Amino acid sequence: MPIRVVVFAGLILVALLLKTTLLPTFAFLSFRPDVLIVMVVAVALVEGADMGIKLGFAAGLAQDLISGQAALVGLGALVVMGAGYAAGRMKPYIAASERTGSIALCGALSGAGTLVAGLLGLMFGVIEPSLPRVLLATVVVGLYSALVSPLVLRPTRWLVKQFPPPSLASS
Amino acid sequence: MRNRRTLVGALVLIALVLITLDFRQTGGPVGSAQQAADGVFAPIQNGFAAITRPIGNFFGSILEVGTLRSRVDALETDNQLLRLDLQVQADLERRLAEAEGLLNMAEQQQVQLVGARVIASPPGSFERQIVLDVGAAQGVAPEMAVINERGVVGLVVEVTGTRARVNLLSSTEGRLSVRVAESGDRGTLVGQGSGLLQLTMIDSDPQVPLDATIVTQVFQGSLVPSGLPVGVLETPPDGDPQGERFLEVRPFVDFSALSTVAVVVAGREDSEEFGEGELIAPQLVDPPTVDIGPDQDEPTIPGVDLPGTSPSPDPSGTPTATASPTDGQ
Repeated sequence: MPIRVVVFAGLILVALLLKTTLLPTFAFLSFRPDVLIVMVVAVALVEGADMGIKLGFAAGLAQDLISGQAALVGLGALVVMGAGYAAGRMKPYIAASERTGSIALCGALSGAGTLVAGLLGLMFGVIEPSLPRVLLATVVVGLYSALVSPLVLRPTRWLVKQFPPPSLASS
Repeated sequence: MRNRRTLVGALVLIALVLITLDFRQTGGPVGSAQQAADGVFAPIQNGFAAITRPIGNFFGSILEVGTLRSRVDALETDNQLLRLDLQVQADLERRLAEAEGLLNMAEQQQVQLVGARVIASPPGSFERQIVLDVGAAQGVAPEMAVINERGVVGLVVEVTGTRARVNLLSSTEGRLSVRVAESGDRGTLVGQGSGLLQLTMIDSDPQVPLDATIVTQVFQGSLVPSGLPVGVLETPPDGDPQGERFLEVRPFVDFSALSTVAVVVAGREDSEEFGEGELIAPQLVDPPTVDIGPDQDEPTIPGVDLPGTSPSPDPSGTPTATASPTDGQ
């Protein structure tokens, strides 16, 4: 159990580091792919909705905490948790075409997460962009996340499978 | 499924509590947690950025190769335009300063000016003429003085409808009547091609103070108003110009950098003033003639109607004299 916590914490840390340091270099129209949601989706597609919920909440909360005054703590936790939950619930439906389905799901949930975060941010008055900017971000982040998701999905899945839950590991 | 609902419900509740706490107060426990998280994450972020930045820049550059050329072209174009703008702005600022100087000069000297731009400068090293973009259409006439914000530039020698040719003061062909501003001693200024101007004083033993200012001297028929600054007397090596008839004057104007000038088309109304020491020659009026009529007891004076009175002869016996200004030259 502790080793899994360390692994998932490491995944969150790496995703946040990539999102805040490396990916701004590759920004398109000043938008970056949401590798945090893609990572959570990848884990949820392996371990199910419960793990998606927990990891999503933890990842979103971590993102909120390192965002300073720019974010409302708890908002990102709700959004990423929702993405993790949705990914876990969608897992049976993409089994037929897992690779394409995973990429599409990463794109859709990243876009949806951006949309929800943007709308909630507008509602609470914690972000400056207008609604058209939020909609543009939804489309760009969704497509961009889908594009880079293979680079995140494969190593994340591999890593998670190396550290299965105790119940599966013992069986 | 029930556990999941409980989990989701609990996490949503926690999130809402956090949102509420964060939304209602700045700082507090949530703010402290943010600061602590930032304190832990920032060093890791810096280290990671130091490692990945070269990689990111490398791949970013590869991705941008297609657009780099167009960006470079666009930046070069922008750069050229900005350089041009800078040059134009510098030129405009210089011309503005010159125009302001000219306006000050016009205000001080109370003269009427026509602004002009130098459209042609001497092509060679020995020509001492410039061409202005104003002419007879603007009221410019030969022998008018041309000035800039420092002083007299030269005299107009040829005029067409829209152009005027000006002999610079430094020209050996130009002569200008001047006087020492402080003492009023007069002289004639002649250019020497370049450098200093030669001043020949009319008085053979002038009392010229050190570093005296030389200004124009009005004379009858001249279109050059009096008092326009020309230059400063160059102190001779012995340090005392007094008593010297041939002196040298350093002009105020830099003849090598003329762009905006003005033609003095009208001087001040009192330009007929006299300089100190200027001669005033009396003009005698013809004495009255007395016609002796048949009756010698009633003399008449033409032009004077004195009915019933007798002329009273001047006891001194001298005629009446009236002074009038004459050519000072």
